[in-house]
Amino acid sequence: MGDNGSGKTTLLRCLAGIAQTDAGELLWHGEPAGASPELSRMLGMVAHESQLYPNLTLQENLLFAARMTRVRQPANQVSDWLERIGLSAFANSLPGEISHGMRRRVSVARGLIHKPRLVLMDEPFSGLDTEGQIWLAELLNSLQLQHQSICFTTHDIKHAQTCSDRVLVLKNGLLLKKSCPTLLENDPHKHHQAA
Amino acid sequence: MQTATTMYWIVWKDLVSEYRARQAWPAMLMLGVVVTFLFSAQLDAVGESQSRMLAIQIWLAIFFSGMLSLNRSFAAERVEGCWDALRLYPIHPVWIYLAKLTVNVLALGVLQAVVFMLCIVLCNVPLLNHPWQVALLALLGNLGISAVGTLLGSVCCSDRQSAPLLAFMTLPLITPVIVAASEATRLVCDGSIGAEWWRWIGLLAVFAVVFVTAGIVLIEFLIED
Repeated sequence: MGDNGSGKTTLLRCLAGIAQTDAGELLWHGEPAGASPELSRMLGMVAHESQLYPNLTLQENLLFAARMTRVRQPANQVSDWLERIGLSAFANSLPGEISHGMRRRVSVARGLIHKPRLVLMDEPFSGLDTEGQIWLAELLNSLQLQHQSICFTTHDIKHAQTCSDRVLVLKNGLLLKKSCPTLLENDPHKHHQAA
Repeated sequence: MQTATTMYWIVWKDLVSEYRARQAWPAMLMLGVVVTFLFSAQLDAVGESQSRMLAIQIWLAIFFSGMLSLNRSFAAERVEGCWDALRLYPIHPVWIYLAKLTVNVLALGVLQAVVFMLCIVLCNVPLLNHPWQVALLALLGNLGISAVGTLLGSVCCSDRQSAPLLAFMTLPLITPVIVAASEATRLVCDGSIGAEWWRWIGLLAVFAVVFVTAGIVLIEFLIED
C-alpha cells in the first residue's frame, strides 16, 4: 500500500526483474530476478496497463501469452480462461472493442495463464466495477488456496484487509510499516503522521 | 527448439498485427515508390554517371523508406505496456532481437522487390540480367540495414526516445552498407561481375555478420531500464 509515487510499481518492477535496483540485491532462490527462463516462468505479472496487443483478438492475445510461457495445450487453456473470466463470447474481439473492466479481466488471465507460483499485480482493482472487484477478490482467494502467492499494490485499505495476510506500507520509496491487515488503521492519514 | 518456436510466435504476432493495423508497411512502400519516382525523373540529366546515381538512389530509397518499418518494430511494443510483458516471458532477449530482425528483413525484402521492379520498369535498369547476383547483394544489404536498425531500434524503444532519432543514429553507421551496396549494384548494372564486385559483396557480408553478432551480444544490456 502507499500513495501515488510511493514506489509501489517500481518495487513490483524490481521484483519482476524488469527494472534494476539502485542499490542492494534482489534474489529469487539465490538468483537475481529474471536471471533465467525458469525463474521468469515462476512469475506472473498483471501491470496497471492491459499489456494486450491492440491488433490481436482476446483469444490471440491469450494464446500468444500461453505459447510464450510454454503452457501445455495452449488452446484448451485459453478456452478455459475465457470461460472463467466470462468473455468466451468476445474471444474474437479486439481489446479496443471491449470495456476497460473486461480488458482488466483479460489482462489478469494473461498474467495467470501459465500458473505462476508468484503473481505480481499492480493496482488490480482499479477500473473494475463492484461486480468485477468481487470477481477479482474471489479469484485472488482461490489462487491462495491453490498455494499461489500474490503480491498486489493498492490504495484501498478495504482490499488490503480482505485479500491479504500481510501488508507493507510504502512512502517515498521507503518501507513505512509492516503489518497484519486486521491491524491496519482505517485512516490513511495516520500512516502519514507515522512517517 | 522451444526457443526457436517462441521466436516464430513473436514473428507471427508482429506480422498479424501489421497486417491488421497496416501502419508501417504501407507508409514504407509508399515512400519507397515516391522517392524512386522522383529520382528516376532526374536521371536523364545525369548522363555518363547514370548507373552510379541510379545505384545510390536505389539504396537511399530503401534506407529512408525502410526506417519507417524499423522504427515500428520495437516502438509498437510500447503500447499498453506490452514491452514489459514481452521481457517478462521466459525467453532470452536474443530471441526477441532475432524475431524483430526477421520481421524487419521481411519488410525490407518486400520494399526492395518493389523498388527494384520500379527501377527496372522506369529506368530500364538491367538488374534482371544477373538475378542471382542481385539477390545476393539485396540480401546482404538488407541484413546490414536491418541488423543496425533493429539494434538501435531497441535502444530508442527502451529509452522511450522518439522514433525520428533512429534515422539520425542509424545513418552514420549504415553509410558503409549504402556505399558498398551502391557500388555492387552499379557493377551489376554495368555487367562487370568480377573481383571488384566480390570485394564489395565481401564488405557487405562482413558488415552484416558484425552487426548481427553485435545485436546478439548487446541486446540484453541495451533493453535494460
